[in-house]
Amino acid sequence: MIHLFSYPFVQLALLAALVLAGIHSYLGFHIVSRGVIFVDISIAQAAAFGAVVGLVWGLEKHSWAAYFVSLFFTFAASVIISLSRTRDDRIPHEAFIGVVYAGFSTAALLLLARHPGGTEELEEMLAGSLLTVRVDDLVTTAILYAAVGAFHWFLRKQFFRLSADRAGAIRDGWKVGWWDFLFYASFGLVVTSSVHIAGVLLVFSFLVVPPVIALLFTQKKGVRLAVGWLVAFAGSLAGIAISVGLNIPAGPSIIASLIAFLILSALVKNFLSLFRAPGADWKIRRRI
Amino acid sequence: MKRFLVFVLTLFAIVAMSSAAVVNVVASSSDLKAIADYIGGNHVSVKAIVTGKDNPHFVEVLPSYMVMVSRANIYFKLGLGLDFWAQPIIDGSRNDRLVIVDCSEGIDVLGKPAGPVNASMGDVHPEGNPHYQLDPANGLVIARNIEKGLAQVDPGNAGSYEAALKQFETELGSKIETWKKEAEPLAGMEIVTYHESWAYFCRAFGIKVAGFIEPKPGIEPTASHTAELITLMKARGIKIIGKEPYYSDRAPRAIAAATGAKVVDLPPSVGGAEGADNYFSLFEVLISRLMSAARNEP
Repeated sequence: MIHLFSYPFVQLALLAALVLAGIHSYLGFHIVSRGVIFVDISIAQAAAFGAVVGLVWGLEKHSWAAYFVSLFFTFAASVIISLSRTRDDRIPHEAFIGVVYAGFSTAALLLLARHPGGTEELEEMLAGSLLTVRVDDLVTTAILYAAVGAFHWFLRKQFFRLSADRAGAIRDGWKVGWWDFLFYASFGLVVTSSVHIAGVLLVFSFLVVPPVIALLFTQKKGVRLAVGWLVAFAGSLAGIAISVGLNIPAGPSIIASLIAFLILSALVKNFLSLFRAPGADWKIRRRI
Repeated sequence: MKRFLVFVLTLFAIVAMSSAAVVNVVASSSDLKAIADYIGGNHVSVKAIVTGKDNPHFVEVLPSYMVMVSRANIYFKLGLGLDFWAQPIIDGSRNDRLVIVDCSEGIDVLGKPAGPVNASMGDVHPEGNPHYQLDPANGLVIARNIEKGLAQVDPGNAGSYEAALKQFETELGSKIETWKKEAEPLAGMEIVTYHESWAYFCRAFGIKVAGFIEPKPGIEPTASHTAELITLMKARGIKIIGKEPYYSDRAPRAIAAATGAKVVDLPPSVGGAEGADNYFSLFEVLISRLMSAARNEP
């Protein structure tokens, strides 16, 4: 089992998973704090649709041209989502976000129906192709993520405040719209490139599962981030090991591992609260 | 004690030598594997990436493929753009000593598009129709390419490979004669096939392909094309729809119901149907299935 990790392609897939895990569980921290879960799968789907457009136009996969076509649709989706946030509360914003998701998925289906091997491309759009990731793609991706990471490091105070206390920031006179734009633009840059490598489902899982597991156990910002990274890295390692051990695709194996971790964490959390519950119960009874 | 050690070491050496003597071969398809097994005999251990039941046009890359190729001495490619998926597998395996042989070398390629190719034409292979293994005469071309490759990586056994090639040539030659005689009633018959994989087979046995269930190669059946096909089949009285095992039989069955034709499962590769377990029995299965369909047997 361990010896399989001596194969360069396994090491490369693991490295790619770790690079993705690093930036996504950080961005996911913000996404989950802001409660915009469905927005990110919609934006990821728009990026995937952009990849399909590039494919149909005959652009080379993983080329810069394909990346920018995809990025265009990512930004288009972000604009649609932010503009559709009406003052009118009778129409929930979630409805528009859902339509963006369904719309881009359908558009990809329609485009690929006329494309040879469409079914296989759809599958790759969802599940990615971590096992065949190329060294140069991984290097450019890592550079891009590092740049976005640095950008977020410089503006960390603003981004964390906005995720934690949006109402307070508005009260202090912040131009929230502009900060949101910066956040979603950098988010779009990352997701566009990661969807091309890892597929929509893995990107979504990396964004949401590790921060949620962290939230189960702690509210502290630093600890949440650390637990998120730990979970994302452990999920990557377990997923690649399962993929190689059982000879199944890598992306879905990582997703399955992450979700297994989530279920396990929820069980542990409940198990822990079992011990706490009698005490709480007893206190209440005493008061009565 | 010393003697025992020498004995153990010799044993190890023998085991190491005998396992080193086996040439590890990976082939893109089960057909190439079948022929490589014939030529290589017990000097080779051959593994195929696509089995006879899988669609060779697209392959989901699994870890085991990379592991297989990283241990291989030689890789037999189908070529003509069909196994484009082999390249990321070969790259990912990082096997520097791997010898890659394109088995389509020397094939008289059919269906080479005259102009430039784009995606709107469907999955047209710019280098021509890659389903060449279905003309049994091409089996010999494949066998020659394989023999040359094996002799290159394992010159010690070159003589044995050459002998096997000669035997393959004789056996195939006499079988082709038998098959052509057997399939004589099929000559001139018109059939419809799912994908454009039967050009070589039909040329070899004089069968005419009147149309395809796919509107364009690799594109799923559409309503308008299906309607046209039904009209065409009724007008010409076409009674046989050939389908590869890895395509859905929904459209073929619907068309068969509308035209009174019969859907015949045609394995395009070794292992694609019961009994088609080597290159020769593949053609026996194909001919017997088409013959019984033509005689309108159940």
